[in-house]
Amino acid sequence: MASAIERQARPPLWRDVRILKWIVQFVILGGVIALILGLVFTAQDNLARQSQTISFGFLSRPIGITLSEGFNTLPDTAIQALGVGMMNMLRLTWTGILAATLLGTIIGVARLSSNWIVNKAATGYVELVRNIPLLVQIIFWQVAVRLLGEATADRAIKVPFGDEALLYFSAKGFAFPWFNATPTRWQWVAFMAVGLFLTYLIYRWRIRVQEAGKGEAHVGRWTIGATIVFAVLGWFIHPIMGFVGVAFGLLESLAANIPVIIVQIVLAAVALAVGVWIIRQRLDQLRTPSGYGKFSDDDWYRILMAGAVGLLMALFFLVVPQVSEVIVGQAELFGKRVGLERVFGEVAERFSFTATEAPFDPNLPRLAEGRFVNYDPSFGKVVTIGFASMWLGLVIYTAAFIGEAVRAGVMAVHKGQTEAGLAVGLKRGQLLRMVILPQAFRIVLPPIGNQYLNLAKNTSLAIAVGYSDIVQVGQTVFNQTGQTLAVFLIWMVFYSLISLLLSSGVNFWNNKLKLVER
Amino acid sequence: MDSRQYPVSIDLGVPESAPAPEPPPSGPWVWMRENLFSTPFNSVLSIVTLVGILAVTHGIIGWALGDRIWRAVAANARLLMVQAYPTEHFWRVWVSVGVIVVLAALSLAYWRVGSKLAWRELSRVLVGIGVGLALVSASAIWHILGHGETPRLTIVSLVVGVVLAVGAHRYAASLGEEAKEPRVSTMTLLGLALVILIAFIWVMQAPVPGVNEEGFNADVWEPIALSTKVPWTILAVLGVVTYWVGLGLREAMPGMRRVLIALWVLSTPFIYMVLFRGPDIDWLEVLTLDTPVFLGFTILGGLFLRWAADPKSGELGRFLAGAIFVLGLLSLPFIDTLMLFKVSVLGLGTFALLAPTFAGSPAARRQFLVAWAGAMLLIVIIFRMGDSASALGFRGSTFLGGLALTFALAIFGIALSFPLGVILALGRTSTMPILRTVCTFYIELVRSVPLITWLFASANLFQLFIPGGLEVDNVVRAIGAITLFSAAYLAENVRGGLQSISRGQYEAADALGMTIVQKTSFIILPQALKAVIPALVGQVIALFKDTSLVAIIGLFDLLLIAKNVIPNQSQFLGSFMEAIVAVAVIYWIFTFAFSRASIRLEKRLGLGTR
Amino acid sequence: MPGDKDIIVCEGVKKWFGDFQALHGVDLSVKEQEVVVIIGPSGSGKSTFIRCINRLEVHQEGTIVVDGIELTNDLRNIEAIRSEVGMVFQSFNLFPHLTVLDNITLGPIWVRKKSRSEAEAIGRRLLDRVGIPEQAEKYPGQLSGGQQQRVAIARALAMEPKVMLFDEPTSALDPEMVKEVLDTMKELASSGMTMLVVTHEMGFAREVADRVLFFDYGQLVEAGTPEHFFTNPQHDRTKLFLSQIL
Repeated sequence: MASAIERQARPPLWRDVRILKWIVQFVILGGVIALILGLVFTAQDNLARQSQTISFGFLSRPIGITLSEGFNTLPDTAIQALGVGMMNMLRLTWTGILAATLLGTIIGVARLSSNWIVNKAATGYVELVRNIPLLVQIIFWQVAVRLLGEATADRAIKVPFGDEALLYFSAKGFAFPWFNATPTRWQWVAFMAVGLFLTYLIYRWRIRVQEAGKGEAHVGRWTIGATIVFAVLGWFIHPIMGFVGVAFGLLESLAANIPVIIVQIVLAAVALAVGVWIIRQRLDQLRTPSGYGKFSDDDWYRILMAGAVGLLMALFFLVVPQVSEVIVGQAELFGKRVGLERVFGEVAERFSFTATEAPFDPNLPRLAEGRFVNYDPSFGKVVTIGFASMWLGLVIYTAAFIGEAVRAGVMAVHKGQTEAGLAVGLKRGQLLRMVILPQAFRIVLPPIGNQYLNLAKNTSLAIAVGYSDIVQVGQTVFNQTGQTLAVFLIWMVFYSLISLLLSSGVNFWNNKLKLVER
Repeated sequence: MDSRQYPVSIDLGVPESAPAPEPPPSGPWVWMRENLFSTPFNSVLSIVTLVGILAVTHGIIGWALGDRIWRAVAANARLLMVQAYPTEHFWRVWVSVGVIVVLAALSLAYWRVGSKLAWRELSRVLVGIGVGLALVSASAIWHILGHGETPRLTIVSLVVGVVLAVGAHRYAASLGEEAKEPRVSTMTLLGLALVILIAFIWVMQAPVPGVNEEGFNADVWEPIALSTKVPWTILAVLGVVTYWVGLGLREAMPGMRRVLIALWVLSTPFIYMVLFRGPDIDWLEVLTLDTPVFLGFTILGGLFLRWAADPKSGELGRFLAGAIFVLGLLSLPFIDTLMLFKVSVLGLGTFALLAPTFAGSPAARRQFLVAWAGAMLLIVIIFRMGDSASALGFRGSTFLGGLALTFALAIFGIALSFPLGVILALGRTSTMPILRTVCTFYIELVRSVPLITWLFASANLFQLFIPGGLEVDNVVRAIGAITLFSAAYLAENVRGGLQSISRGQYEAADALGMTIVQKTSFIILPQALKAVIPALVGQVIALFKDTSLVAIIGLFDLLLIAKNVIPNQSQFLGSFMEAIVAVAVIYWIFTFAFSRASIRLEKRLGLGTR
Repeated sequence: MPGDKDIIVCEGVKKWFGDFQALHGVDLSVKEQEVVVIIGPSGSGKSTFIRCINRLEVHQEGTIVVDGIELTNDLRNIEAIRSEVGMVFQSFNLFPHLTVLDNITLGPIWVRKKSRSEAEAIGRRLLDRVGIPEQAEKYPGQLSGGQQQRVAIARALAMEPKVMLFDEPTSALDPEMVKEVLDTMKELASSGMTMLVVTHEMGFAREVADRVLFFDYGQLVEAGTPEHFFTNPQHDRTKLFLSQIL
């Protein structure tokens, strides 16, 4: 039988499918690299002609720029200005996400309501808001808020409260009562973190009591009570958290004095370890009882890539000590210390209060002295027209999409689940809380996460209403310095990081819920 | 095996179905008790919501009828439509719209887009419209009486609303069970709506600031579409006529679909040429450069393609094809010669690579060669038109604006990003790791950064990356940014479709011996795209809305005109709200219509699949 | 009756799926016009084996030669074999977006490079042969399972293959539709087609097969004529399997 087979010689290279597959890929890779190189060469040509260079040096040079708001409205350098822009963007994002989630859930539930008019009102809201571009809506809110403000250009409208005012309203925005934080708030927050952990232990203990069957254990009352006790206690004894400051002070001096070579070695080791870890994960998937099976091209590619990237990163850390110096805080980046030393120092500073000063100071808004309307920033909370119109636009727009996601999620829970729940004898409320919502939440999470990402990216429209987010600041910066490409790269890195953070957060919860399912 | 033995065999026949029990009593009161006042909480909720809605609507109508300068919108209708496009070149806009209308009508006919509606469904919509109209009119009458004026028109609209609501309800009720059957063609309704719209343009009058003996600022009542009612009417008639012609053609020439798709593809460069350029063609260059290039590539390239398509030429053919393709690709950045040559070589390489796949039989080979000649002709024409100086005394970025710009951005953006998105999706789902990495990296990078930064890049960075001296129009750059951006999103949608296709489909195609290109274009892509049509339409709507962002980089689209132009005109100073509301309404109408159409499409697709 | 020329020759075919070895060295040769039925418990590698023969799966060691062409990474050989070996799947795998006729003519037109009219003539003739000439313009979704599987057979035959592979062609069918597909396959066998059939239909094996193979744990455990195989199995594992299903 063996005689029937005449083994053929290896096929020629250009006919071997495995080789062809790689040739095609390298041709494509070559094409992409050629394209990028072509663009880079052209850019170099053009820059040379305009005798310009690309560098990030401009970031540390002084710049004349006034921001609409933020923790520092008159920054000295471009990097500071961009930092304020980033913080403003983040503020808009997280407050927007909170409010949009709340409103969106209400809309979603209303869309599912059996009450005809509530249902139709929610539908009308969604159809109206979803079909008008966000930017148009933001401008609409800006115009609406500004028209109200312009009616009172010379003075602020005041809602009186005794001698003082409860609310102010003017061309400079809204001002309302607020709990303004004092420097000791961090100690209180840290205390609360410990307190909440203890509360969690108490909660677990009460659950055990309940399950032991020794009568009603009042789990809810115990938990809420403990939280309140810790909050009040912390208000007065938060200075006991001062040891955190001492610890971070030690870390700070360690970061300032550690030899850079040690940091380099640690970083290189971490890079290598990550590479090795990825390779081992891959190998574990391929392991067979009798040694390893056959690796596919794809397996080889992944293993080699992980190894190569890990090795390159390790080499990079070893060869370039500057990176380690910046990370540990012994060198400056664009004229600013940004490394661990600075971080530790800042933390230590925030935990250095021994007086039992209240962490939050509730107060009413107040006008500053002067001819024109100006709010005193240390009293009450001030919301500018730019922020208000951005926030209203983002929240109202995103809520419509979140509402649709919630509705789709609840409707996607199989009808059989409702029937099964009713058959077990659950009441409607229990059914919703224990069967429908947990499942709906799992379905809803990915689309809502997507909407969070959209909201974060849509904050970039702030430039249209003059709210100083990173895009608006960046545009001013490149108009003044001409460093468009550098600013663009900063935008890209910043938004990529935010997207990465948000999506990994959503993925984390998604995976956690999936594990619960098993 | 087949002769099954049953223990007892009784011939029961088919049981007759008994009549269904009487439905429970119904009526408006029962309905209201069930849907509005089922529990005390629901009753409170209903009343609060109802009062809230009425108060808000009443307030809005009062605001709209108050001291508003709506003339600002009416007078600036032309600005909002095409911005400052020169009047003597308006025919270019009309031709573009005409091309789209004709193609759309033909497509509607060829793809049998129309469906049938039941009277019941229709009457519900009509009752809704009627009640809404009546309520709005009633509120308006209240406001107008408050101003001490006589509401004549609003009384008419109140009556119309009531009659419409009552009439539609009574008619549907009189039909009884028949009302549930789908009878009314949606295309007839569309035609009817078109007729009403045209009549509206002719009859409805709006106050426009005119010059009369009393002074500049006096209002003159003119028909809404003052100078455009004739062309609109002609276009509407053209649309209806082509639809009928299309219905006839569909029977006569069923193979026209492919031609239609090709025409849609070609319509984009055509419209671009018509709208933005009046090329001043250098005929000497046509003779000395274009003709030889065309003839050379068509004849020599054709001979090569013919050889490459022959199964006998085997791997050598494919190898040469690949080499030519790579040469074309490399020539783009590295070889300093006419772009026309580079693109032609790239085209030849692409065709040669596809030749063995698509040009096997002699008949297919002939078609393939004709297609190559057509492609060459197109390349030469597009380059000639694009390269020649424009005889028009204006540039698109400054003159085209308003709704026309919005549509231009949307149409070009979709037409260009669609193929790119499909390629990216195929790359991301491919089994080739490097290709997959490259595509994934592109998609994720583009998606993680907001559109506005890409638009800024197109406005401020673009000139850095193109050879010096070449100047590219602002509008074109914005189209580029929108295309690259939305391709990444489209790719993710298409990827969803690709992943929904079972392995069996790939295996069946493999077992038939199809090549990768054949498998992808005949089996995988048609199914994948069909599966994600709703998502794709959603993406198109998102893109349409996103075009408003170009206002930030200073293109005069609807939004920028409403924000910066109209409120600053001396006679309409401060009409911010009026303008922005008008723009919002314009966007809403189009987007709402798209999304409704998409829902209908989704339902139809849902019915079609198993 | 089988001829005397070997059309499929396999030697020491081994195949792994990551950590799992699916085939432990299979040796087999099939003569022209022979009908071979492969049986075995699920997961025994029988499907994997016939999927290796038209390279839907790539075997990692050993040799497979079909009609004198060895299955290697050679592009030319893969193309040649794919168009000479027809395959019918358990789940039909018809193309749902194409009509029945288009399903059948796709291969002849684009792979065999026939003209459309020629391909359609072949398609209609084959639909006639599998007994559903009236369904040509319908879509697969409108047909019953049995009809779909007959279309799938016609689609494979349209390529004019020298060998037909059947991968559990009746497993996804309702009982009353099994017969119509088996009848089609019997007709095909009697017309002299070389067939490799993975199936659980023992009646079919007994009636039509020239040879029955028993697979277990990725090995070819036993082979023989149907009479020999069903009445006097040699191997313990074969006996156990037959006692469980008969």
